[in-house]
Amino acid sequence: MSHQQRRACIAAGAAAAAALLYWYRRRQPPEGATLLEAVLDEEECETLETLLRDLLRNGSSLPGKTYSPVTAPAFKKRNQSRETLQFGAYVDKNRVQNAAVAPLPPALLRVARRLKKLGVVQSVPDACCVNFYGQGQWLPDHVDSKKFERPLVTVSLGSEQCVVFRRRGYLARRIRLPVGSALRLGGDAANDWTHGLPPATRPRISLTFRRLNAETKRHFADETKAIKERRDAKKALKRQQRNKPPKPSVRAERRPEAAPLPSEATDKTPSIELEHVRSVYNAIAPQWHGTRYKAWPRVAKFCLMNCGAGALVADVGCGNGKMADAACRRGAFTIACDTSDALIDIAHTTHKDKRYECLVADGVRLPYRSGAFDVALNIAVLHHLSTAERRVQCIRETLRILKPGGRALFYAWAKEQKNGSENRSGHQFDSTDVLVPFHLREHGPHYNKETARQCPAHAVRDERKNATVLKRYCHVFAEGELRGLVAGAARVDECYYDEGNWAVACTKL
Amino acid sequence: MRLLTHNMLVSNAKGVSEAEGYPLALEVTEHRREETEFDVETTRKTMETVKYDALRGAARAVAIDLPEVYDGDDADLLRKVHEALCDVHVIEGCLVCPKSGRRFPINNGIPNLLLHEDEL
Repeated sequence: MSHQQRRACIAAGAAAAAALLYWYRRRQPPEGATLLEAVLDEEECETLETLLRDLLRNGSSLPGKTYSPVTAPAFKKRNQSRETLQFGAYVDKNRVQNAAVAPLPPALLRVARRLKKLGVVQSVPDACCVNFYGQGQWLPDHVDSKKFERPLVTVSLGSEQCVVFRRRGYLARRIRLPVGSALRLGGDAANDWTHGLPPATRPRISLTFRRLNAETKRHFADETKAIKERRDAKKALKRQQRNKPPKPSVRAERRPEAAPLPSEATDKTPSIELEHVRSVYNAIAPQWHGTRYKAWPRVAKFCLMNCGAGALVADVGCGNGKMADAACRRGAFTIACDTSDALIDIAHTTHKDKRYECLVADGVRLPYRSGAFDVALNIAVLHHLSTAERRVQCIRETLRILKPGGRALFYAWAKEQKNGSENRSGHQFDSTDVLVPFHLREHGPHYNKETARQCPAHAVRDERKNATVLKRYCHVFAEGELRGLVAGAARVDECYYDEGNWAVACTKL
Repeated sequence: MRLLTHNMLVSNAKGVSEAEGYPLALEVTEHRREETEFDVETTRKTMETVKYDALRGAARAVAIDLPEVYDGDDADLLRKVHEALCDVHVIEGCLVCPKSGRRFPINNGIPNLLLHEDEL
């Protein structure tokens, strides 16, 4: 062998040795990484794999964020993602988050306990991230979040794949992960080396067991507690607001002042009603009529159901006669009355071509025969009577004129006014007996100087609004009050809230 | 005011009972007739409530003669009754309480049965 030949031989040998060394060192796990083979036997692996795939199939029914599907389109396109099940702790893009996830299921807890028994870990892991790699799916190089205690343990199922460790200035390390093995990462391997998985050649499941560090756990617990406290405080506040009287409305006149009540009990009409009801309506009749000419839908429905051809209807307190059309539609004959002759004039003029007759009379002393009518309407009348006796008297009179079996409908303004768009008049009542202002405009389409009535003595001029302010007396009804009054005199068929009023439909027995 | 309304009206003057205050005497100074559609069944049904004697008395005040006895099967009578009940409008006149003599005016077709405060 020549000198040259010998040198070539040595070179080749050295190269071969170097290659062998390289091959060997490439496959040496970095410091702190240990591979334990056959932590789970073949049968255990199969059982666990079946169980986990079952869980994955029902992933969406698992609590909170336990199941994460592949969502990011870019990740999906690059195969850089996989379905995961996370128990005990939630990680998104390698960041630990305080999200609700299921605790370790028993099967995984058994594996976690075995890891402790084998001395792989000091304390039993309470979190596990299960990655389901499909064919071609891979995991980029990363270092696990520092919020997890070291060591981390990854158990492999499904198929044997490789993990690659990299560190600047070091040779990359490629470790194979047989089925049933556990890879323990601690020290440098967990903190200084990155690890990633090349595209899987066959489906694989990895179970990474870890524990959140105490600081993070404490932080999350505090955070959850604070959120719960905030939510509870909000709930309590809402509850409190519901029970509180409504906020003062911007417009003061929508919160009417309390009315002085009559003290003497006589047959005479209390002066408050003369001054604050009858005189007010006589003065405001044209303007009142101008804005209120449509029957309330539920009252109209009651009329359609009960007022047939040949029936006789009494409209007690008819106002401007806005129920006339509804009452007469099916051929009934209606006799309507009101104490305000100005309103009766309007009702008569508007409806004289119908089977609708108007007269001036008091609902507390109806000038009708007993038992003459089939139907009686008493709509928005009772709240203008200032004593309980007079309200009862008006109900009694309304029922007296009905035939036995005849039906009556009562509506009275409710103290409980809803908020928002449902409250059409926009009023809020603090007291049950109130004086509600009415702004009478002495100009505009409803005003006629020739026919205008004199305003009652209490009226005051509001120059700013260019109107005269009159105050209507109202006794607003609390829930159940109207029903209570009617129930003593007739059979209550229905009791409901409608148009800001309490309503009672009843039958005379 | 039509006679059907009159038939339902009773004096509500203080101290007058329903039996004593019915029917109100009708004094007519002006009345008008407006023909309306006649329906036998509706009229017959209305007549179940109407007190015929009171109607007969009131009809006399507007020059309609009704027979002494009401017969619901007599179509001609029903037509006449319908005219009396629904077609005649008393425009001006008076209703008089048979017991107390209180006069309730009818102006522009509207009777006013509201008592004055000193009558209560």
